[in-house]
Amino acid sequence: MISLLPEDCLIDIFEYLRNDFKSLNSCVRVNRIWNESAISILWSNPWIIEEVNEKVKGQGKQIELIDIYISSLPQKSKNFLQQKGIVIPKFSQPFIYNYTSFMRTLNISYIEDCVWTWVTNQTNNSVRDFIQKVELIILHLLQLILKESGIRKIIAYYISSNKATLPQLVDILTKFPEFGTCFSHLQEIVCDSTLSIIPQVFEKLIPYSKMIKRIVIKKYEDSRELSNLIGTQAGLQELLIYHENYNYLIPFAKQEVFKGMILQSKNLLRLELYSFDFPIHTLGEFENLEELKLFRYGSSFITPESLAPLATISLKKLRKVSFHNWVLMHLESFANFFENTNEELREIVIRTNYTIADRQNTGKLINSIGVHCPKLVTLEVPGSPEDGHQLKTLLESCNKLQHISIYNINQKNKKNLKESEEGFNENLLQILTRHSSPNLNRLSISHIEFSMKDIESFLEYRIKRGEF
Amino acid sequence: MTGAPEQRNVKLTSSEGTEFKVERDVAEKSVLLKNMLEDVGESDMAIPLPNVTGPILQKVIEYCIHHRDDPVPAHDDDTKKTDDIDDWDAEFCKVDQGTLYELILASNYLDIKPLLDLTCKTVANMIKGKSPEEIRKTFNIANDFTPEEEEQVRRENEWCEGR
Repeated sequence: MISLLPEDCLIDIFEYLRNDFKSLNSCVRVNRIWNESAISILWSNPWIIEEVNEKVKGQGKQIELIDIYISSLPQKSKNFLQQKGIVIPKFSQPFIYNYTSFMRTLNISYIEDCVWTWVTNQTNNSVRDFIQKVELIILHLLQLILKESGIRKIIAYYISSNKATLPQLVDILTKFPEFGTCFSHLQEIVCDSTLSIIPQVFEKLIPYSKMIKRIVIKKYEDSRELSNLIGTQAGLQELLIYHENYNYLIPFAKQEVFKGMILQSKNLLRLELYSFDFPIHTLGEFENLEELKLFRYGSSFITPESLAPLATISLKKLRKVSFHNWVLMHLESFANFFENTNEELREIVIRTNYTIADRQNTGKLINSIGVHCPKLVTLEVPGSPEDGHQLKTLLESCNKLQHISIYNINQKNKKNLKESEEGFNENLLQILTRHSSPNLNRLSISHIEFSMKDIESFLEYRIKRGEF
Repeated sequence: MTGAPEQRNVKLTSSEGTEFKVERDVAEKSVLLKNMLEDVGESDMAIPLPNVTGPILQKVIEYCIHHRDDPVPAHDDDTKKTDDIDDWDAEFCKVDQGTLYELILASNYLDIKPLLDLTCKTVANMIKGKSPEEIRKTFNIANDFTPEEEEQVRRENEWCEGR
């Protein structure tokens, strides 16, 4: 019966096998209708990196893949390459499909890698000859891809040593502006590279790409072009900008890209910034954010007072928040921040190795989270052995908690209170034993000592409740 | 649903003419029915579903009742996973291939995306890791390629063999 399914239902099924080359390869070989339904999915992103131990086998596959694309080049290109001493692969009959037209992901790095491998397999007279062949083939393949396909996603995770591919892309778009329409449905740019992307690439995309939903820049370099690309999108949803030099904090508000980001402030659902400094009140503009990560925020001028505006920021749709290793952490400001988050938060991670202005306020922070974030599933937060009462409030309020991680930042006090102050409150583990929800499946408490008896009681209680 | 205002039932008729009564919020899991009900407004008329048989409609209603309180997914996730089927859904899909086929067609026609996703995922899991011959055997599919065509398809997709 499944054999009678109409094509649109078959496509729905094959979508679940995207990137599973083995299964899709079987599907295209089953019969004609399966072939027609699965072929475009199989060829939409052939650029998948092999595991290191598969590398040798993978190189053979890379050559077979590039064979198909080189054979798909116009005769004029093939003649030109032949004149340059490149041996063009021969197939006995024309291809069943125009495979290039199916490409949706342009993986700059992997194309380079594959062509590199392919040319290694040719006869090369010198290193210069080798590099020239690589560059020529990439140029002709890029022209083919830009002419024939509709790219949804651009990936560049490293730029190979010849560094020529991105300038070539820019050259092609300058020479043949009409090829730019292949980026008119571009939805995603992921630049996770060792070299920053040249701004001209962004500039060339601006006239064509207005529908980008996600931009990831992991080797940041400020440019007006990147800012314009960000700012001119109809509805950018995710923006992640990292720069790798953790010790150099960039005053972000003075950067061009900051302007583009502010233009998208009402659209963005997810924002991740790494090692940037900007006025904290700016976050209030991003009122639709569902996910916020700020790694190593701030500068050497930051004070508890400059963090105080956190209390007035209201991000009512926020579901996940991470504050990692800020230059200065001010727990009271965080506590106030959670008062305005509309009880939608599912995940809170506050991690610090650096300076904390108010170590005494861990309890205040835990209490605020407990009162204002009842739907919480994951929590990582600084604490101290004295925070038993606040932890109890949190556990009673947040009964969906699955992961809890508490690390003691008052390390001179590692003992739990039962031992140090006889007759005082229960210690944290005793509270977790009695009040944590059955949903809890991961617990980590660092730098607090507990007696074996308390640990045994915790485990026994969980076993008794059938939670192991 | 407890505490919800009383709602009118919606009548649906299967291809054999069997009538089913369902609560409106259950029927509205189907985008097709939701739009119809919005257009027609309050009516006692049964909605004919000539493409869906009684036993399949019964299964579809069972699914919609179980998932009646599920939130509408906020935005489409690009990465489609096949390993996130919960126990109830997995049990629901333990049916013969004919029924699974009818469920895909019905969920496609009635526009019930979560059910279409679930049934497609189930078929995708049946395909995973199999050779072309094993797939043909599993689903009783005839190979209509000529030997030459089969060889050409194999050759042109050789790059992904064994990956």
